[in-house]
Amino acid sequence: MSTLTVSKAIREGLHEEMVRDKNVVVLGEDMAVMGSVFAITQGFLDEFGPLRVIDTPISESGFTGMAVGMAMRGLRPVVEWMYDDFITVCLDPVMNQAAKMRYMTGGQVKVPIVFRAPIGAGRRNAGQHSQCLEALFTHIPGLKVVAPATAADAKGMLKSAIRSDDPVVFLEHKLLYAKKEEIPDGEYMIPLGKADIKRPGKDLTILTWSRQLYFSLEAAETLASQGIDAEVVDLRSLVPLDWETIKASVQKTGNVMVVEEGARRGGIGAEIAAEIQEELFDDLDAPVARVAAANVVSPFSPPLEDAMFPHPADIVAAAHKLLAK
Amino acid sequence: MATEIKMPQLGLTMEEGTVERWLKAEGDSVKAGEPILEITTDKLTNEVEAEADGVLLKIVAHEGEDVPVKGLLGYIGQPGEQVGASAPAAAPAAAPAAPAAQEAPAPAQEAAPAAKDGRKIRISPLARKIAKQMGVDYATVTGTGPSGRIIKRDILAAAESAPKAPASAPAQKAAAPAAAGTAFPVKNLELMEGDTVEKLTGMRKVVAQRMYTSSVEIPPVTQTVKVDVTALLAFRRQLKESGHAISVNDLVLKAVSKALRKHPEMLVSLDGEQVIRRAHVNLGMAVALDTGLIVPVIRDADLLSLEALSAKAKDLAERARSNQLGADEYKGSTFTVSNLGMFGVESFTPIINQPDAAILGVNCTEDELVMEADGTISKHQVMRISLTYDHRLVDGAVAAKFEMTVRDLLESPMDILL
Amino acid sequence: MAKYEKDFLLKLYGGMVRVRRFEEKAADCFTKGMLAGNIHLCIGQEASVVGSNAALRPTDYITSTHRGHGHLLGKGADSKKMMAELFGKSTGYCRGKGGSMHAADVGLGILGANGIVGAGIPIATGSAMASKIMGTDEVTLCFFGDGASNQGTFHESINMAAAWHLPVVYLCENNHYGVSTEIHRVTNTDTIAVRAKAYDIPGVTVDGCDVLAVYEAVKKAVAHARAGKGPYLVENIVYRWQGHYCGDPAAYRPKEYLEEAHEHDPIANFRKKLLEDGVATEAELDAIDKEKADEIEAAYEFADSSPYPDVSEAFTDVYCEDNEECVAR
Repeated sequence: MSTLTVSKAIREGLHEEMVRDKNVVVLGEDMAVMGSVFAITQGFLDEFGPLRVIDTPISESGFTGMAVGMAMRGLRPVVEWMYDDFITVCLDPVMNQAAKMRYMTGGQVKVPIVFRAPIGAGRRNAGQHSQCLEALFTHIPGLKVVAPATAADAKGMLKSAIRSDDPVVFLEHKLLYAKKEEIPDGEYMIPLGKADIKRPGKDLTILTWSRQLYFSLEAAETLASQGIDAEVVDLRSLVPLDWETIKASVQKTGNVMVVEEGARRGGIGAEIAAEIQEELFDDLDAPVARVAAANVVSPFSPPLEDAMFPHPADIVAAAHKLLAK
Repeated sequence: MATEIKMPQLGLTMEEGTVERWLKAEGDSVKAGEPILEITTDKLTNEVEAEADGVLLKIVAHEGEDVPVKGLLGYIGQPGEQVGASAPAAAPAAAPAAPAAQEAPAPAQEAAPAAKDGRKIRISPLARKIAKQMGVDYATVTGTGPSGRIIKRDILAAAESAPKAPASAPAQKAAAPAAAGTAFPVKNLELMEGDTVEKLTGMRKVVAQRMYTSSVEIPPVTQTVKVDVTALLAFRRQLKESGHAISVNDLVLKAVSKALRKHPEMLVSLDGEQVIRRAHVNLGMAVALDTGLIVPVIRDADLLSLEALSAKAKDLAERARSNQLGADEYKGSTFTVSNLGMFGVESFTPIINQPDAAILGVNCTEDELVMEADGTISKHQVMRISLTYDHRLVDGAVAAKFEMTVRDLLESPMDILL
Repeated sequence: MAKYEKDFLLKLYGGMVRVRRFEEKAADCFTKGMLAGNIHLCIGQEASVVGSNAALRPTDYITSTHRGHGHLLGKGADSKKMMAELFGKSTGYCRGKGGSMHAADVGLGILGANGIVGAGIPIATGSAMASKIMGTDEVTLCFFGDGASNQGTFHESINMAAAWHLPVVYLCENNHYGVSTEIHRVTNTDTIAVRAKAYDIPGVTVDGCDVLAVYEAVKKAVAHARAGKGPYLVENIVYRWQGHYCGDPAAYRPKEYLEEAHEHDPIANFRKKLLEDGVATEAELDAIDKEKADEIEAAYEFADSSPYPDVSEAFTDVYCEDNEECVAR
């Protein structure tokens, strides 16, 4: 075991894959000379050269579209959008090109791209740099969508994402980059589509991912002191979704909530809640609860921003309501 | 292909019925439309008719068994036809002694989850599933979830506290927790020579449950007032002579209807933390039957003329005795009148017919000597009326004023008609 | 004329006839209600699609557009598989899952038609980037129309290709109309090619109805790109004989447009020239006409008689891995 920050773990995973496979190239704004604003590719330019570590102009639509062409030609581009909010200026190559190309060509092509993007509120970045847009991506058939929380998961899943032949949206929470955690020594992979029970429990299932995992674990401790034993399931991967793990947990506890940082309306929680009530209705002791961000724009002012997205106390309160305690 | 005989649904709130008596034996030939068995439900005894020609191949639910609506009672088919083991939905029929057998899917059992008072039961899907697995009748469980929803813990608690009958007890069958609708303690009473045991079923079970619930839930007060009915009886004779067969009970019903309009505070129901103020004077009218008691309802009794009211009361009573009431004719009362006068009862404490807040007991008429204003003594007829009310909702003075209005009306019978 | 081999010239002629017959047959089928959806025809633009493809090597790549039948046929696509794809049949290029706007043959270097105007431009640029990264010498030819030249992707892509000297030729087929909008109503520059100046790359405007002029211009551009000198912008002035889509009456165009278009018929004019210059006889050209008509008729027969895909195909190939799980929820 060694201790690494989440950003260093991502860097290590990316580095290992670039060493292993010369077709892996990274491109995005400020990736080469600067080594990315979150220092993910620091030192890569010297090691891999400018053809594999590409500083693009501020042309998200252009370079994201380029990545599609590169992938169709056999490369494995790892694209970084500086913020997931910037998807608005390059949605076409993601949604209409990368996601659909394989299907539309009747399976002729593979588009193995990893779209990395920081997500999340809490950094006082206001309305255009704070969103969690998982739900927007999961709505698009053809994309895989993952959002690991821990350093170990981030590294192992990034390696799997790069090796996947499908386009994968890989979402990293800005406020987790600096988190130091233990990761296994040596090379290891974590498959996409496998949830991880970060805290077993019997009274209540909390389905969550990314930074809300930590908030959920904190809430679970509070609940434990009140005699409520919550199981915290880190979904990690939203497409594919680990339904078997969700099912087993819901059948064990009978009470379930989805905790997410994205907006409540049309969120992942809505989707999972619908799936659970359709498939596991008879296992439910209460309606599936959602804890999510308000349906508002991320405000700038700190007290306003804190009121906008879920915190541990919100999760605890939701658990009380759910369990009628 | 054999035809299944199923428990019919005879009223909106009917959940189950009891097999009273098979009119045919296995092997008997039957014709479509021919009565083949009798069932009793909450309130009624009905005949079930054969749906097809053939022979009664098999009786699945035997006499005394409770069967949910749409549950299997038996089969009609051609002689020699095989039914039973391979037949679908075999016997969700009560067999309450074997809750394990209830794991077999019995969708019909879930079709009408309604409490005995007709309200929809709120229960979580998981709680319902567990209740089924454990054989807990959730209709009698109180929910502790949001809005009173029954959740898993409530079912577990109910199962925990359910009486456990010793295996050897003769009354074991009746003691099983799945006996829908009742939760009377099992005392394992010692049987003495000549005693017989029969199952609490049908109307008796419903009466037992309703009387028990009312008496446990309601803090009752009974106030008795004496009414001078001399003028009333004279008035009745007058009516009779002019060809109108009006009973004392009819006049009482009319007077009560009128008094209730004047005292709407008597027309209330309690639902949790809510008091429901009733808009209609729907008079329940207790009718004694050989097998129990039923309370048909005269809707909007205050809007009926004395004659119409009398006709309605007569019609309901007759149809109640001949078991012909529609399911909706014994529901929705807002006040009830119970008359034991014909049996010579001088006074009694009636039990409130929930969800009403009060019930008026009517007693016999007696002769009494009364000193008139001029000092002479004369014979009068008097009758006591006994009002029981729910003291959670109605206080003594309010009830007394209502009773005085009833008395005044009965003592000045012309006012009843005005 | 004299400098070209007869075979080459007849190949250009045959290529153009083949495209036109294909489009006419497709229109005929569409009008008869045999095709679902809609199709965009390139009748009148045959010189552009055939002449430019003629300047490529088989190993080179192209990206195409919604008006792509000709581009693909020009790059060597099988007319049977093309027609079957238009019919939505299992024998089509995309097994019926893409249709007219998404036909592709990656083996032939065809990176796909595209239903989004301007979306092929960054894809072509990425393909060129891939050649550069992998150190191979393919050139990518990027077809698009005058309408796409006003998309951000055009500017973003040419800028990057220019900055990094990518081996890509941007080929604008300027047929004067983006659906109904005449280009000069929404664009200030006289030509599209002049925009090359903004990126400091060569740009040239060509008579796109002259198959040899197109061939020469694109040949030069491809050589430039292949030599590592960076991208090149070629603008072919062409005429779109049909409306935007098959069945569009194109009432928004003046009647002079179509008169001018017919005067510039790339096939009739090239045939006349071949006869005038004594390159071929009427009989030889008629034989080519018949050969192409027969090929397209056979393509039609093939498409019409092919089965529709099994309904289960609707749920496959969304993903390479875990397709079933990802489709399920």
